Amino acid sequence: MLETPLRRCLGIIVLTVGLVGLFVLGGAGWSVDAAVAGDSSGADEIVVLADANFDLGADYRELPPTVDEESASEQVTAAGVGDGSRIAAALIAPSDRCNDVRLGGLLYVHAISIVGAAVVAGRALVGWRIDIRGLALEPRDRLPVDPGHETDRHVALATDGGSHRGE
Amino acid sequence: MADMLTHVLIALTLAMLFSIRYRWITPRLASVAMAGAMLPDLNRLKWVVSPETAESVLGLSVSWRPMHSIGGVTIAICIGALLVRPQYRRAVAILLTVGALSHFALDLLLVPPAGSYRYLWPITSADIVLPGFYSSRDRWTAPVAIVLALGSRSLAQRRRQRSLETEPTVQADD
Repeated sequence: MLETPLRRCLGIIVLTVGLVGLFVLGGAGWSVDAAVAGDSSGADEIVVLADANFDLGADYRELPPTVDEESASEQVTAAGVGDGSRIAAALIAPSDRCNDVRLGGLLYVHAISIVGAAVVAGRALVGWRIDIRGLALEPRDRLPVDPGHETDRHVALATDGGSHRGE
Repeated sequence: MADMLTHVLIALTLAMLFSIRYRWITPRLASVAMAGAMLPDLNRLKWVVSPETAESVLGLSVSWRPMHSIGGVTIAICIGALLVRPQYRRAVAILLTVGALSHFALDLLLVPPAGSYRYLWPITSADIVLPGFYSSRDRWTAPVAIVLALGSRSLAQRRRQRSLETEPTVQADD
């Protein structure tokens, strides 16, 4: 079953359609969850949505002016047109002035993830090849197939219960 | 979620350690475990094909989130197993599963809510949340994973060499 290239391709197509179906199912069930940013609770989604506070600035506005904000307003008054960076810093809320740290962390994660993907891609290119006739991937076998050698092909036979199947 | 390099190197570490016991796991097959560790993060394809674009094409609501659950990963593993010759199918399926499960295990150890996913979807929509101990932006995880991968690879090679010395009729793979 699913040994010939045609059957394997059909199987892949069916599975891919099934995967897309899962995405659609997830979209139907998870669209509300995606609308509530950062929500990870197991509560019913409708209840969570009803209780969610979408006024993100409310907590900030209700806070009494802090010392930093007061000094910031004084800086704005005193700076005038001179130092743009000080004016910009004064206009940004104190809690939002760590963007550099956040951006640096995000860049690091993306860069190191690209390195990881490149490592896998490199190992795949070096260790595996495409069999054009069989339309399949197989490990590159640099050693001659010999009963004394434990190559990938003998490994495959061992994991397949010892039966040899051709395509 | 943890960075991709950490995920693939931890998967490689596991594959190398398993290769001590199960000698059919060769270095080339260990690469399959690394690929399996990338499967759940295929939900990042949302940055290439946004859900809105997919919805406009299909006319239905679409989410990439199922990719980071056992439902999406299981189908992806089946597709991966069909991409190889039948004699490698079982080995590839096993190692893809090892890689994917290692990915989930690492994400579960993230400080909430970062590692909170519906891992068991579509079986259940409940989030699984565990008290984590590291953040996705911690920079120590990648060096630790590199050390673990190199150590496990060295250990596996030494064990393989030692077993070859006791069995002179079987020669090394590489």
